[in-house]
Amino acid sequence: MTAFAVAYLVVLGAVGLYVVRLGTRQRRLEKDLAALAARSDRNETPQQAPPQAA
Amino acid sequence: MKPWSKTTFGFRQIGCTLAVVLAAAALAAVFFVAPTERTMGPAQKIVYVHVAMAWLALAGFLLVAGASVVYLVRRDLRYDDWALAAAELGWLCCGLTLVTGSLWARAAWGTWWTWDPRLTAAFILWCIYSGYLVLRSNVEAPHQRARVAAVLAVVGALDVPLVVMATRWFRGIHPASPGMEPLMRVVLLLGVLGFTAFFAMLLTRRRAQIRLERLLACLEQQVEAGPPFGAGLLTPPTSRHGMWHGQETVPQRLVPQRSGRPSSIRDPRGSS
Repeated sequence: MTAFAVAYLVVLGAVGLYVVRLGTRQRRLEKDLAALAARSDRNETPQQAPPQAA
Repeated sequence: MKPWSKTTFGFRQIGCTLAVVLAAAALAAVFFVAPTERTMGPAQKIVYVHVAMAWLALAGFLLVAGASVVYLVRRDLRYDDWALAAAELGWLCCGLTLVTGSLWARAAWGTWWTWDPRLTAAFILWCIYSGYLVLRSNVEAPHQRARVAAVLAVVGALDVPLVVMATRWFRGIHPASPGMEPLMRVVLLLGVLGFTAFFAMLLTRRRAQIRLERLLACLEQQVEAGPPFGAGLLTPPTSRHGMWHGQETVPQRLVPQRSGRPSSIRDPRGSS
């Protein structure tokens, strides 16, 4: 019984860790892409002209 | 931008749900349906997960080798993405094959490890997988990395027939095809199908992630270059072009196009 339980625990644990790692990476990538889009938008915004002297 | 967890329920979600349900059904069948063998007791049930993992390790390496051959012919990094995703999962499955096999061997033969031809060939396959991943992590240039790794994968694939045929070509103690009751065979087949579906789902997701990582690195370089390259190039993806869903992980309009592909995806020295 012990060998059987250990084998299934190892397999499910390893696959579970892989799935968690996949999810963590995905969230980080989504964050990075959002940050990149924000940076690109800042680059796109035209510089405001300095106020004219009266 | 919608996170992948909040997008609409599409084909991909249906596929994922089916894969998870099939894998859960396979596990439930092992625990509640498969009969307990008289000689070995519950330890015999290790065979269901052991065979599934061994099949996935072999299929994974064939996929790595196949994608590598296509990369070498076309010099297109999209095939290298498939090879890397399959190699990571195959490495995991090959390791789990060795661990579960060792636990089974302890219960059946009274030893954790023996240099049986099939065990040795499986261990060599795991070493090749490990070498492939280590090699990839040590080369920076994408096309050079893909080329070197592809050559190793093609050469390493020679070990796959050795693993499969080891019990027939050489004398050893590993059973070639163990005698089983019909119900046990059904559970074994369900286990193989369930794990294959689940790992196919993980493979497609990991491959999409690798592609996204590569495109993100490409876009970052262009934004850092500043206007005119950075300005207006990036906008947040719409829900229609979600990051996780759809064939393309990043909207194509965000990516500089050349013949329908990002500029760095093809090796300029490639054959086509």
